[in-house]
Amino acid sequence: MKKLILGMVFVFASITMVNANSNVKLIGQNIDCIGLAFSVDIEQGGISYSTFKSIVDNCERMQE
Amino acid sequence: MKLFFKKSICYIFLLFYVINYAQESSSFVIYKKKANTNIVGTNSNHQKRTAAKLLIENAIKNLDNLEYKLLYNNELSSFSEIESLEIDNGNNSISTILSKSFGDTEGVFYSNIKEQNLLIEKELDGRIFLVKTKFSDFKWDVTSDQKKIGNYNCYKAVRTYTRVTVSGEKQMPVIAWFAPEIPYSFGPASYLGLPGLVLEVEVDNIVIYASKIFLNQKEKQVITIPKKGKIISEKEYNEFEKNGFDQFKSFN
Repeated sequence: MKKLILGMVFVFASITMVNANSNVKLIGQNIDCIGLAFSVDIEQGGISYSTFKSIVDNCERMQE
Repeated sequence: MKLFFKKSICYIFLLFYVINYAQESSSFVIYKKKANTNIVGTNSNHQKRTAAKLLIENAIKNLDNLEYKLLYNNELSSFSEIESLEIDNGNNSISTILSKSFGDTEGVFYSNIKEQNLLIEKELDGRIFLVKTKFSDFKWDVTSDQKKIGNYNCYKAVRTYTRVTVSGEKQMPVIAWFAPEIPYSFGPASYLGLPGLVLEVEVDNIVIYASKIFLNQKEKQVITIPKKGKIISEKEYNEFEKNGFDQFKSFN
């Protein structure tokens, strides 16, 4: 019984860690930041210039 | 005669206190945002678009963590985000930027009932802009549609909102629900200028709604209109945004 509970806890923790990790790796290295901002604009049906600029700036900061 | 004189002075002081209190007491409303429908597009063939879609989905999930405060008195109001601690890793930052941008609530919004104008404090490219708009420019159409929000009977008003985007100006309808029982022409972000406090707004599939209302608070809170920054019209600001987009287009 103890082993079963420990096993379940281990599986749950592993899934949580994998999920968290995949979230962080959403944007990889060497991505075209301006292209990404244009894509966000298309997907959302139009974003403001300040949002566009902030996306580019943050994306570029991540790649430094 | 002496007693009458004393009583009169007391009443005058009491009246003065009541008027003064009514003028100086402030009220505030906490607003939250939620996505009305799925606001993510369907074109996801490209890798970048998939990343964009995931960022938007994360941004929608983040919406519940954002809160805004509308503070007002008899003359002025200010509307801004309530600062909270954020985990600043890259993806979260971009999703947070998007969450904040939904409903065009970025910046600090100041309005003045006497002067009938709105001043939006925005920071762009390291410069501070004070974008000035007159209430009359909003051109609301008040309808007879009604609904209850909390204990307040609200009326529906509609207008068109313009946002400068990469592909040009995007016009979208705004639906606002205002409460004439709270007779102040204030509201969240730039959705104001109606004969009652705006308690709910729907714009671009985002709903900005009042989650808590605190009327006539004893604690006096000062609203200071900013003086630092370049005062420009909405038209001039839009032109600035168009030029910015043109520069990015030349890179892409």
